[in-house]
Amino acid sequence: MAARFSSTMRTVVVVPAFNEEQAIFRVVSGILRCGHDAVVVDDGSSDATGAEARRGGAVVLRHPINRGYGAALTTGTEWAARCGYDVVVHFDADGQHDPDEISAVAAPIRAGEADVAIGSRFLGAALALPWRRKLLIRLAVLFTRVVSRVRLTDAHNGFRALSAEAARRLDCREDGMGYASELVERVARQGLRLCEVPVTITYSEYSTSKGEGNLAKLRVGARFLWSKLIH
Amino acid sequence: MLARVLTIVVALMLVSSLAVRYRRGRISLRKAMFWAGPWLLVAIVMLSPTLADAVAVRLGLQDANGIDLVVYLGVGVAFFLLYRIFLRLDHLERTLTRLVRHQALSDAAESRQSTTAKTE
Repeated sequence: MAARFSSTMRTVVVVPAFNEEQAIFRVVSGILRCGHDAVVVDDGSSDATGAEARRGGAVVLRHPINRGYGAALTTGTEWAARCGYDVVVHFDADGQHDPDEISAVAAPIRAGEADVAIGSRFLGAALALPWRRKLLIRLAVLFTRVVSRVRLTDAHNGFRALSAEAARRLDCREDGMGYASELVERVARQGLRLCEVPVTITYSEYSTSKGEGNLAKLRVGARFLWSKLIH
Repeated sequence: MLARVLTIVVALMLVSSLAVRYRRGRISLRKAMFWAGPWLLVAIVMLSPTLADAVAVRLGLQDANGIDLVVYLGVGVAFFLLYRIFLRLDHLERTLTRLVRHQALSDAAESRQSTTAKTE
């Protein structure tokens, strides 16, 4: 896939958000402070997530009802493609990710070295990562290795970058958290160039309370397998 | 004997309830017949178990009796219907997401146009 010269490439950060009024303003401000465009997909929030994101300076797309993490990312990615962006970065809304690392995650795409770059907390740092979550992520890494046949050091890391062309070709359809697994599998199936980039994930009381429970993470794996079975 | 009578009564009650729903226009004739079929079959098997035994033998289930055949068929049909329901549900979920996405992107395009018009 030919890449344009990096300085002419436009990057946008897509943030899927559901009831994140407490964190979204800070997250959006951080993204804009680093010089990137931000689009927040308000996924049917019942609080002031959309208003807070707009106050922070982001473009806000609103799902009238909640459709899930994957659905929100696809909406944001489609919007980015329509607006002519060349690089799309996915970024979590709960403040776990560091906006200063966006350029580093997007760098392999901008340089034309990869089509998809996925952040790895195990190549970088995972601050205050609970041991149960660490165990579960390790299991998810193994799951990805067995099911999708892709060797990664991290799994279900929501910090990633894609070229617009790769996003179009991937055509991910999972609405929920299974999106992360589907994306990796489709990258492998399409023969796209994938790389990992060290990132820092900071677990706070807020982000842990907002995230899915460990049992729900297991359900995501089961759902993904079921989805593979019926299609 | 009591079990047979009770099963026949329940089956006929369900069939008559479907007939009433059809007469009131709540379901189509096709749907009424589709759902009444298995219950009529159950009633027939209960009224004439030897008939079902003969069908079972004809189908190669030498050791099975008619009731076993009904159970085999019932489980098979239930699994098939469950699979169809899952597929249908999945299709509906995807359609709903497409609709929601279309709305979100249309709203964004409209607000973008109005912002551009204001600045001009």
